[in-house]
Amino acid sequence: MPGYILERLLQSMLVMLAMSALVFAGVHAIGNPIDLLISPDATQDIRAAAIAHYGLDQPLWRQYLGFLNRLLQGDLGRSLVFNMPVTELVFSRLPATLELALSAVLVGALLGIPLGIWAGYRPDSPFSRLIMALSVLGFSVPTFWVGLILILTFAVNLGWLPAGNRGPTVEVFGIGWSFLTLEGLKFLLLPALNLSLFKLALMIRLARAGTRELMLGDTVKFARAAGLSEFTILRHHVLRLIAIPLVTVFGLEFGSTLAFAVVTETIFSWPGVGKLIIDSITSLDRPVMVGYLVLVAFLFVTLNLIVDLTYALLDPRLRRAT
Amino acid sequence: MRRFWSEFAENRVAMLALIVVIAIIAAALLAPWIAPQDPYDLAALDLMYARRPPGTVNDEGMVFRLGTDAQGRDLVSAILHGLRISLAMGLAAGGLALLIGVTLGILAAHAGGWVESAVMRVIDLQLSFPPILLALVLVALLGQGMLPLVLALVTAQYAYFARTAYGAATAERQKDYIEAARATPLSSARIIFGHILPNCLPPLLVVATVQVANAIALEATLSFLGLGLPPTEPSLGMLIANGFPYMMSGRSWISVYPGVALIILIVAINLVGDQLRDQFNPRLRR
Amino acid sequence: MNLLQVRDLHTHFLTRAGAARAVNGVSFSVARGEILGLVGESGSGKSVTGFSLIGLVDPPGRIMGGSILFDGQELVGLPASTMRALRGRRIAMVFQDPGATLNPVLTIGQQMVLAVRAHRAASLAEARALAAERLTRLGIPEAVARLDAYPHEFSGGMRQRVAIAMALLHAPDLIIADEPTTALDVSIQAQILVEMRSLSRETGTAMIWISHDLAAISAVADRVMVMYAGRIVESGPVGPTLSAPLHPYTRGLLDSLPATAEPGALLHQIPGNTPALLSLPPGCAFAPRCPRASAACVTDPPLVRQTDRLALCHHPLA
Repeated sequence: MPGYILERLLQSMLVMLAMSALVFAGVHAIGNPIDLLISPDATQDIRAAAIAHYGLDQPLWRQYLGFLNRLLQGDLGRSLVFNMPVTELVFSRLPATLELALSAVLVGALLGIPLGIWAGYRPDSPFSRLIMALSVLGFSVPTFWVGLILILTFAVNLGWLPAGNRGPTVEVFGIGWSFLTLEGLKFLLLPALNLSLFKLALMIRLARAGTRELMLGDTVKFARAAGLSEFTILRHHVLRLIAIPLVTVFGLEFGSTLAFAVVTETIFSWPGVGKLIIDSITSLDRPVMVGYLVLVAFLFVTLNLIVDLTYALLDPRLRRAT
Repeated sequence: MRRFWSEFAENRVAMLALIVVIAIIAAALLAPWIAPQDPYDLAALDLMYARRPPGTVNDEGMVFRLGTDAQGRDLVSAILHGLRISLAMGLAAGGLALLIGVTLGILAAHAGGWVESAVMRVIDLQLSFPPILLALVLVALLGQGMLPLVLALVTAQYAYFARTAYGAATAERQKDYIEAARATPLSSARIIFGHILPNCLPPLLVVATVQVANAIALEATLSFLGLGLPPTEPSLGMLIANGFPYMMSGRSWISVYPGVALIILIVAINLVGDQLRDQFNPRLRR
Repeated sequence: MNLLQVRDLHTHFLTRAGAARAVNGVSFSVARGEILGLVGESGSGKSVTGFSLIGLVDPPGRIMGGSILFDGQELVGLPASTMRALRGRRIAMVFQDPGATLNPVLTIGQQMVLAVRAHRAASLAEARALAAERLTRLGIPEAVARLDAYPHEFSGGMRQRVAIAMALLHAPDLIIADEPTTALDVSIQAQILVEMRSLSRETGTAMIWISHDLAAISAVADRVMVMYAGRIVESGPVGPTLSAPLHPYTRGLLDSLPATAEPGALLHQIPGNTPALLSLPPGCAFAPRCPRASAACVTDPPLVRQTDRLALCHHPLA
């Protein structure tokens, strides 16, 4: 087991390195890197100073090392629009996005897995068919449109829930979280629901497919022959067996949740990292874009690592034999 | 072939979906002729009739069956043309992604050795990246416009095709008849085109349908975020975005109707894809 | 009274193309502690018979008629919950491939505890103790430690022993074994056959041993039944039946064994193929392939009795 962990850690670090190289290459290939660091209308003197400071007259590999060095120190440059360090900016917005994404993922899993298992257990019941039909909608319909409809129905027509922005926050460990207040939850509900729909649909379909296949298989037959109740079979055998592919997809999908948060945050004016990146693309705030890229790459690699490790925990066949 | 169709037709929903898709494609192709108004002709637009509800009649006697948008465009026409653009983008991006992806996948399977592992590692890495993020990044770097958008869509999707083609090609290669064929003087190209490729088609067809739907959705999302096509040729996403500010003030039709059109298109394509997937999946057959 | 009395059992598979009569009027009985061998080729209906007895026929299959009397209780038409109480406790089943039937992500201890608790309230310690005891009886060393092992850490033969141990947890009256040794090495096969036989004698558990392997049956069973196309064509004590069969099909099976063949001569084969269950010929299903067939064979063959032996044939071999 430790060997496996070490191996995966090393792999992740290699990928991170490759990613940083890619971002670096991308930055230098597309346009003048100086534009990433200072505003395009800066004077010549400032430009010259910046070039010297960032070593942009140095050979490429030196620049890359400098880039890496700055990365490791957490220096991602300064935002042109907000005039503050990118790292600070991103981290101030991150809690909001994390809150949203985690809520969405929770909803997707807690609702999706049981529904999916039921749909796989009784695939021909009308309830199952309904679930499946709705799940098709769940992941064909673009997130932004669902958000629109949600706002239209619940905020505009029914007036039950607010149409945007984040609710009041409560400080925990120095970070403000809005789900800890009732008001905050009201603001969180629609965006989280919106973001979770895709995941929900996916979970339902996966859980259903897995369950259906398992129910027709030998393990279930043997368990039935031993006289286990259907519920016990579902809980102990089916759930544990479908957990493996589900966790994998889950972990990977968390990344996509973060990506789709971009859309949800825009619609609901949720002050998270996603909205930040859209705003910075439209306002050409290049340092923020690069910073976002690096952050996302890091998150992805970490996510993959966590998924791999969880996989090993769930499937004993992957652990090195004692 | 006949059995394929009769099985397909058994699923009423999928059959209906297929008809809807064909109808939409037909409508989109015929849009310039059947739309009551040319939504790109700025001269024909009259701001007097902007933001009017469905059913309004203008002074030339034309009925705005679905209302008008913020520039006074007839929504029916805008939607028809928007569908056209969405479909075009989806098919173009999907088609290109298919070509690139399949070529890569089959070549990787054929080449073997370190080429195979290197290519597939890149593909796998890319598969774990959500398409929307890739598209965002590319549009951010390349700016807006038709070309960056198509490029973004293709980059986001070719990996699926590559993986599917690779998987199918690898499975085929291990079968005995390919071994036999390689023992004959048949060139590699003939083996690939004559044997491997035809057997990859069923899973590729399924992936293609789903990916076209995804491309359409992705393009709409990007347009909605303001990162897609220029506003003079509004795709459905842009139409929806344009109508968003008016949702609160009760003029929801500007967003809702284009949205409904988009949804119908995407869902119909997905339903067809679903049915194809079920039909090609040997494990679900009793 | 016999432990198991089956009368005119019909299990059909209702497909779009018609009803496949997998079990087409099967009658037999099993006495307490007796080992009955059920022999037949693939498609003969032997596995389906086994599944019918324990109530695990998968749709589109269904028991269409007949009676299964287990210890005086009618099993056909029994409500699902009552049947479930019997499964594992009084009638148990062992399957062909333990690699597929044992859950790879649970330890065998966890799986055995689940099986114990399915039928009685037991603490974890009690359940584990029972499981360990059964494992030891099946010859698995260090049973207590092995409870925390996963199925993939056992060899094929050991896995099957685990499955058998699970079947024995509640000391059932009847064990149905569906090709239990087919997936194992020949040497292990022989071991398990011998062990099963002595186990049955020790515990007084009756067994129905389903197999296509005549040699295995002859080693383990007391009585044998031969099935063809959903019907029992011959039955009797294993020794006489397999040395001097009454039914031409049994004769053909024995002659096809490589062991009985003359070295250098062509292997004997029964000509033709097993019939498709959807289109059975009228009368005797074996007639198209039978060297003794005559015009009479288009009518249903009679049941010929010879002391404790039965054959379903117009022209039995004695």
